[in-house]
Order: sequence, then structure tokens, then C-alpha cells
Amino acid sequence: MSHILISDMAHIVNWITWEYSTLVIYLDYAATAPMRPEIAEKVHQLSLQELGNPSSLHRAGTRARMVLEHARERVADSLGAKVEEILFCSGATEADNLAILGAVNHSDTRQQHLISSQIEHAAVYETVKRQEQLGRGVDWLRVDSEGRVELEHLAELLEKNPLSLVSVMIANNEVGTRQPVSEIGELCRRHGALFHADGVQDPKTARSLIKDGLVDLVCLSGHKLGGLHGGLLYVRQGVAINPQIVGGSQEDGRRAGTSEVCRAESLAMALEMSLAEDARTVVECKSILEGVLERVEGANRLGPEAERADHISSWIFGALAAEPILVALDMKGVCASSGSACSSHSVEPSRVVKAMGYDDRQAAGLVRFSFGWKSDTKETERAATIVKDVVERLVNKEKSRR
Amino acid sequence: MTRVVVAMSGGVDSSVAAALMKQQGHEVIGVTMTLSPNEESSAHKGRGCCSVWDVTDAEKVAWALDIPHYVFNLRDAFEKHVISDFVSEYEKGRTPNPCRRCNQHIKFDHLLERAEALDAEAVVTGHYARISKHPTEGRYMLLRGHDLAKDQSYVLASLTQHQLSKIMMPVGMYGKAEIRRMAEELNLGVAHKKESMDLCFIPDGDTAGFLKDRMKTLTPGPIKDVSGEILGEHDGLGAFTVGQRKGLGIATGKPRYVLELKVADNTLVVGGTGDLERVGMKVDELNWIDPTFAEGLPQGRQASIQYRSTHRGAPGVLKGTPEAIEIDVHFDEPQSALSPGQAAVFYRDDEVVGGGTIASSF
Repeated sequence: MSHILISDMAHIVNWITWEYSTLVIYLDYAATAPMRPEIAEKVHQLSLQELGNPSSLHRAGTRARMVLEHARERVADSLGAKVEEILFCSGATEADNLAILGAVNHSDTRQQHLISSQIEHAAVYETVKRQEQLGRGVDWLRVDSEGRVELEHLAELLEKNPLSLVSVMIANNEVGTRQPVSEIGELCRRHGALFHADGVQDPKTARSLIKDGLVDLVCLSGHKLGGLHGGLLYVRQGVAINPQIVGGSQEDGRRAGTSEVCRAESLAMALEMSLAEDARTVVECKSILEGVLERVEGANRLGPEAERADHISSWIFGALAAEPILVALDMKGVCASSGSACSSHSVEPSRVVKAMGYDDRQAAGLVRFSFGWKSDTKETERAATIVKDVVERLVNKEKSRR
Repeated sequence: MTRVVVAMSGGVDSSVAAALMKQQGHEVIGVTMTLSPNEESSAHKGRGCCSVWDVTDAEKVAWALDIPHYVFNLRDAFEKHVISDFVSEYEKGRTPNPCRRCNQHIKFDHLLERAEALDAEAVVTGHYARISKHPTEGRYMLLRGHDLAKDQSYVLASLTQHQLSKIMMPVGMYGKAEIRRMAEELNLGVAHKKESMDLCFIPDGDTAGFLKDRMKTLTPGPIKDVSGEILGEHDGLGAFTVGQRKGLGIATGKPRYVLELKVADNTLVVGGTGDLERVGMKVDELNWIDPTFAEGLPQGRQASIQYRSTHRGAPGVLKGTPEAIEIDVHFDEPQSALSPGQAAVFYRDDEVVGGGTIASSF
């Protein structure tokens, strides 16, 4: 069947200029962040420098290699890692896949059992699930009502299968809950298990885990921090990884494909800048929003009070579905999101919220607001009022329908 | 300028409907509903998922028209009200019309609710039917589309007065050729898109296969003629429909048609064309778009009755009471292939006065 091509519609000149709202307040940093101008500038300059392929011997290649390796050094330095422990790849999804599959598929890896949880990002969850379908031994950790994996359960499972690879994220992307990763790291250490942690939503904690030697594999993403798309995998020295994308011997033979120089530089800058930033404004924005939403009838914030990512605030508003709220917010210029979206960008019930013990209807009501480097308090105050109005209006409509 | 929500499928008709509304100066919001299940699984079957790419088509049209566009996920409701009904109707030996069910339970109900939440005043669709207000009585009328070959009023007969007051069908006053030409002039890229003939939730058109997957039990049983003589065996009453000729797997020399599906004793009754003819039927699940019409039922009311989407109506008399849950329809001439489960829609000229579901024939 033939489908529509944008290129056939030659008259598209204005790219989405809907007049309904000139105001745009971006509250979806957990999905992606606007690019930092310093990074855009640097990438622009690098792109014009006629850099060669970093694997080439000539001077153009050498220049590219210099940029690439300098970026790797800075990333390693930011995270308290060694240069040979940093591996660049296309993004955090690839890094998660590489961490799990690369480790268990290596003949030197004794840890062949997998332990993970229902609240992981799809990059981990689907990877582990597929391994389970293929017949590998997998255990799923119990999760409490605040979205935290249960340590006692992990201890039990590790007693049974000490030679496991445990994959638990640092901070959950849908509700923000910070996992007890130091304790998980200790447990894994004690049992001889490998520990992989998706650190996309919380690079600061990722850094301290690496510095404390409590983790074996960590992935991070550039675009969530204001850089280009592109990710990295930290592989602790001594942990064996098999390439999952096979070809040339780039990245120490662990990830084939021409190394992306701009992506590496962008990742180094984004990491340096976001690790140096203090979280004060982000936390302030979050509490402004929460102060307003707490007063909305039926509003229920998910996740714990304290052990939660600085930038994520997730809510369920009574029995309201997320979809109409998000659409109404967008019509007013506020960009928020639901936990997960499918390929047709319609809202699906959240697997994470279900794992926390909520029902399907509540899981379809998850609305997530998230902040980042460009958020400001004035804008957030405005957004909070808009959110409150939209939700109250929808609640009233729902009531009048009954 | 009023704000309207247009249900966009990515096809020609709803795309032009959106364009027409925009031209008329309305503030237009495009919406695409995702209904079919199996989005994930189909990606691995080597054929692209129809629903994702149709959503993308709809969104591209919205970009071209410079209107906002959102996707509404109505999969759960669709599964509950349309797909499971589709399967259970077949299990009961009836022939469901899922498009009608979808219009009845999903499209308009949910869309109107969502539209209201967005402060929109109307829902617009690309159906070939017309809605207008009666000049003196003030009620809303549902009329056949101007292009009788494309008319879709048959699947819309469950609409209520309240729903009709909030729905617009701008395409209904044009012919298909005109709509295609408009799409071409508007440069929407959809003008030559093929029309979908299959059910949206069975994109490969294999209804029997779909039912086999979904049905709990498919038990082989006898095929008999009207006298009770066994002519062969069927492999499950599953997907047979009254009037069906192909796929019976019996050779009797002359054409045989499905007359009846006897679920109780798992028997398929077949016969010749003459045996198919019926003088009347019982109709339930009634909806009266024109309540004044129903008031005349005790005396018997003349109407043209359409009982299949491809049929154009046969004259007959409706008998019952306005409040009855079931009425009798007597045709002026015997009709063949009245399939229980299909819609029966009553017309006064071009106007749909009401409709229901065929319960049985006599």
C-alpha cells in the first residue's frame, strides 16, 4: 500500500505554526532536552573542520582521532573512570543492549543468570524479556508501591543464583524513584554478581557509583543532558564484553562502526556541564509545580518524597486518563508527557505504574513533568497554573457527565 | 470561528473533510484513533504495521494543512466493544457488522467526549452521509450521501439526536470523484491512495483465519439440506454467513447457499436460491432518529429497508410499538439472504428514520 510522502506536499512551508498557542513551556526533559548553545556552537565548528575518519592514518583522520580521544578522556575524568572503560555508541538503548547481551554472550562471563525489574526502561526490560523467551534463566525483582525494587528480594535471589547479572536503573524515568543502587552494588559485590545500572536520568549518582567501585556497567545518554543524541557505556576494567554490532574494530573491538567525533565531543561537554550544575533551580521548579498540584482535588503524586530524581514529578489525577490532559496542555503550549509512548505516539498504560500496584486505568493516567538546564521558575509558575486549570476543568466535565 | 475536531484516518475522504472545514474558517484539530491491536507483533511479520503508517499519513496531511494533530488510543474500548463482539456474534451464528458497532460504541461516543474536553463544538468525519436540521420540526436528520454509490448512512443509523447535533459530515454532499479532485488540488498527497476494503483489524483480509485464532471452539459438524439430508461436513460454524455460496466444500451439481446456522446442534443448513427467500424479519436493538416516525408503528409504517451495506433498500411495512424492543418487518416482495446480526436500516426517501439489528427472519 502506498503512503503519503511529505516531499509530495511541496506547499508545506511553515513547519507547524498552529496559532492556538504562541507560548511554549517545555516540561519534558526526561524525554529529551533542548540543546545547549555551547554544544551547538562546538558541533557546528567541528563539522566545518573537514575531520577525517578517526581510524585513518592521515592527518585528517588523526585530527578526528584527537578530538575523539580527548572527548573520551574528559568523559572518563567526569565519571572517575579510566579512558579504556568508556565506550561510545549510538545511544543509551544500544548501550543497555550491549551491556546485557555483550556480557552474557562473552565466554569469559560466568554470570549467566539475569535479574531485573518491571520498572526498567524498555531498552533493558525488552532485552531481558527476550532473553527469558529464548530460555535464559531470569528473575524479576518485586517492586514496592513507591516504585522501588525490594532489596530483600534481591538478596534472596542472589542466594539462589549468585552468578547473576543484575540490571536495575539508577532513577526511574517515569516516576523518578531512585533505586537503592549502592546497596544493590554491595549485594552484587558480595555474591560475585555483575551489576548493570542504566544511569540516563541520574548521571550524578552514576558518577558516585563508579567512583565507589560499586557498579560494573553503566549507560548514559547525551541528548537528555542538552547534547546531541549519542550514548556511552562504562565497562569496568576486567568485565568482558562481546560486540553486538559487528564489523570493524573501533572502540577497542567492542562496538563496530565509524566512531562519531561530534557525538563524542557533545557527550563530553554535556556531561561536564550537567555534572557541574547545581540542582537548585530544577528542584525549585519542581516544588513550585508540586505546591500547586497538591491542592488539586484527586491529584496523587507518584513515587517517594525524598529518594527521587531532582527533575521528575509524576502524577495521577483521579480517574482521568493522561491522553486528554496532555492534548489539552499541548493546546495551551505546555509540553508534558505520559510515561511511555508507542510507535504511533499514542498513550499506553504505564508498565511501571502497574508494577507499583496500580490498576490499568490508573496506569493510563500517568502524567509526567520533568525539568532541566533551561527551566526557570517564572515559566514554571505559569505552567503550574495552566496544568491546574486544565485538570480541574476536565474533572468538572467528567463530573457533569455522570 | 468554531473549534472542531476532525477524525482523520489518513485517507482521502477525511483529509478533504479537514481541508473543507479549514477553508470554511473553522479552527480545526485533527485526531486519529488507534483501534487495532497487534501493533507490536505485526512489526515482526515482515509487513509494515498498517495502523502506524496510517497514523503517520494522517499526521502528514495535518502538517500540510497546518493544523494540530493528536493520536487517541482507543484500543481497549475497541477490543471490548468491537472485536470481542465480532467474534462472539459469529460464535452465535450471526453476521456482525463491526464498522457499525465501532460507530455506535467507539467513534462518536469517545470522540464527542474528547472533543468536549478540548472545548470543540463539533466532531467532523469523512463519511458519505449528510446531516441537516429539519426546517420546521427542529430535529436533526441523517440523509444518504449525495453519491449513492458511496453512501455510508447504513452504518450510521445508531446515531442519536444529541450526537447528530454535534457531528458534521462535509464530504456527504459531494461525489467521490469531486473529493479526489479536491484532494489533488489541495496537493494533499492522498488523492490516489487506495481505498481500504478490509476490516481495519484484519489487514490481511483473512477473516476466517482471524476467527479461528480467536474462537474458543470450532467443532466440525454436518451440512444438511432443508429436508435434513446430510450433504457434507463443515469444520466449524465459524465464519459462515447466510447467503454465502463459496467455500462450502460440497458438490451437488447446482449452486447451494447457506440458509441457516443452527448453533444448538452445530448444523449448517444449505439450499437453493429459492430457499433463501424470506417475507419478513424481526429487528431488535432499535434506534429511532425520527421519533415521530415510530409513533405510527402500531398502524404499520411504510419504509424502504436496507439490510446489507451493499444493498439499496426494499419496500416493506414496519409493525410494532414505539417503545418495543423488537418489531416486525414485512417486505412487499420476498428477499434473500437476511443475515441475523446485520443492521436493518429504515429509510423515508433519502432520510434514515431509524434502524436496528436483524434478530431473525421468517
